[in-house]
Amino acid sequence: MIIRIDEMSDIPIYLQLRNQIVMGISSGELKAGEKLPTVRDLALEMGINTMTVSKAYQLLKTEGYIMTDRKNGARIRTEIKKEAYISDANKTELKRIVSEVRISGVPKQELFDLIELYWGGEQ
Amino acid sequence: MSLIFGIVMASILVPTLLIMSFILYPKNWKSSKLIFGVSMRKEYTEGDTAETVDKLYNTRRNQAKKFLLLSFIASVILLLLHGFILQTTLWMILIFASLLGLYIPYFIGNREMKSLKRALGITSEKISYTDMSAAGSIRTVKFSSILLPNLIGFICVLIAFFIDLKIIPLNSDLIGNFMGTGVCATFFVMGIVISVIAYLMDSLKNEVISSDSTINTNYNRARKKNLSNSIIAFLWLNAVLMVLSYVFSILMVSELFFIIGLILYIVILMAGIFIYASRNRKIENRYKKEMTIVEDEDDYWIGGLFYYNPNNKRLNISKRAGVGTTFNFAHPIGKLAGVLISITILATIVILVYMGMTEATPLKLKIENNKLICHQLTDDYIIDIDDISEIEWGEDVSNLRFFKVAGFGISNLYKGSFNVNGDNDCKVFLNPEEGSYIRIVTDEYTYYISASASDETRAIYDTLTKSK
Repeated sequence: MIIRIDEMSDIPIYLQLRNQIVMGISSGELKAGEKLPTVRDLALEMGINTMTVSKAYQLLKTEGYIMTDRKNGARIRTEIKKEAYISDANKTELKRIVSEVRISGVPKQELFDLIELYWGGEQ
Repeated sequence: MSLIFGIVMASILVPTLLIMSFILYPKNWKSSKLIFGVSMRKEYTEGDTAETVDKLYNTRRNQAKKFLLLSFIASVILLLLHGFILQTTLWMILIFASLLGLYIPYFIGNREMKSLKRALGITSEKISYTDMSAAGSIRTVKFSSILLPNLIGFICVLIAFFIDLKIIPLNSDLIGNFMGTGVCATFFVMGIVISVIAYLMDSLKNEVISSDSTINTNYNRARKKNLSNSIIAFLWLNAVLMVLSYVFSILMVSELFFIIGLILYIVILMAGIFIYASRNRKIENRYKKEMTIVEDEDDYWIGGLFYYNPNNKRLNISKRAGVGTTFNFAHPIGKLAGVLISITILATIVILVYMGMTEATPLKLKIENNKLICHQLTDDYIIDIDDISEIEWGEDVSNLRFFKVAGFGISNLYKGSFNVNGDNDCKVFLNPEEGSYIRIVTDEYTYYISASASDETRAIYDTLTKSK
């Protein structure tokens, strides 16, 4: 899976990393039970601080996407908790996107097509 | 001797320049990954822009060719010169000037390409890509494969050391002055340094060229495998030449064999670097069609040569211009390395000036306060006349066999610690071209000294014999 980090973005790198891994799980690029690189290896490969990777992994663990143990390192959870609701933060984010798209004159169907595409796993 | 020195220097300079020009200025820029250190883009190969780039590229390439030709002519001229220090100084100046000359069109080309990029409205997105599956998993330099040649090197150093300590008995004039140990240790340290560089290069960031992880993995593995094969070949060459140099230079007591070995070593080394670079290019060409992701780091490469990226925490980065790895000069250790490299360059210049001044200053012998002083730029040796147990006049210095241990050993100046006729504890301060000399024996050392002029040496000898 390819991680894409925007150095000029306002979003912190640890959050960009977290988001990319979540998208990877959703699209199926990262499979259930798949081993993630160690914090050190990934930090070295990305040229970022180990604390940044550690923070992203910690967040993913708290959110229930990955599990970590000392012996096997970090892995994608085999059973990700399906709470079946959209968080308030995501609702706000979605509202912002819909508003921007609507103001810019994009037809509603185009947005639905995009959602369909992303839902299907393609990026 | 100066001709042999010139051949050694030319055998370093000429292949280096050829390899550098091969890497910096490939014939067909359209098939390259970089143009003067600026990432290749589709926009550069289309329409009028392609013509502009072509013109720009060929102008700078032709300038580099002219520099190259001038450097080769200068190398031939230097081969004809005499005088070791003069030759050394001029060779150093030529090496610096040639490398700089080869890089100047590259620097200018880099600036022009960046201007063109801006004019085309292409901005650096500052986006970095990482293939998660490659993190920490692509390693081709195995500890076991680099251990054996280094171990052989270490054993050679130990054997040479024990021979010098006379723990291992061997019959040679040069045993005991640690020259053989020094030769072996130099090769051994070279092997260790290359092994460390190999590990650093093996842990370099894996490039992301495609959204397909398999392609990225194969591409990076091919590049690293090429590196690992080249390093292992070099380490074995280093070990073999270490043994040969020791045997020829110490046991056979022949400097000529040592110099031939050195030239051979440099030639093979350069050929190895050339093979490594051309294989790398083959890999690039093979994967060219698969390259769908271009990571734009052009702004972080100053002149396409120096990497400065404060956002990147890595210290070592794969070189854009040349073979191997370079520092991220925004990293604290990179900054320190930058300072050390600058100091080394300055120190080289200072040493060359010092050597030049030493060669130009005549040797003086004087007696003051019952002490014999050998003076050139400073008082090199002060010998208490009361400590002298034996004084001998020598008519012809060419009857003696000198082997330098430390100091100057050039055609018109022998100064420092020498092995003379098998005796290791000798201090030498003479001009071998003058002929006559004084041999002085003290409890500590045996001195072989002379002034720049024979009559001056004779006058000192007469004074010494009278005072004893």
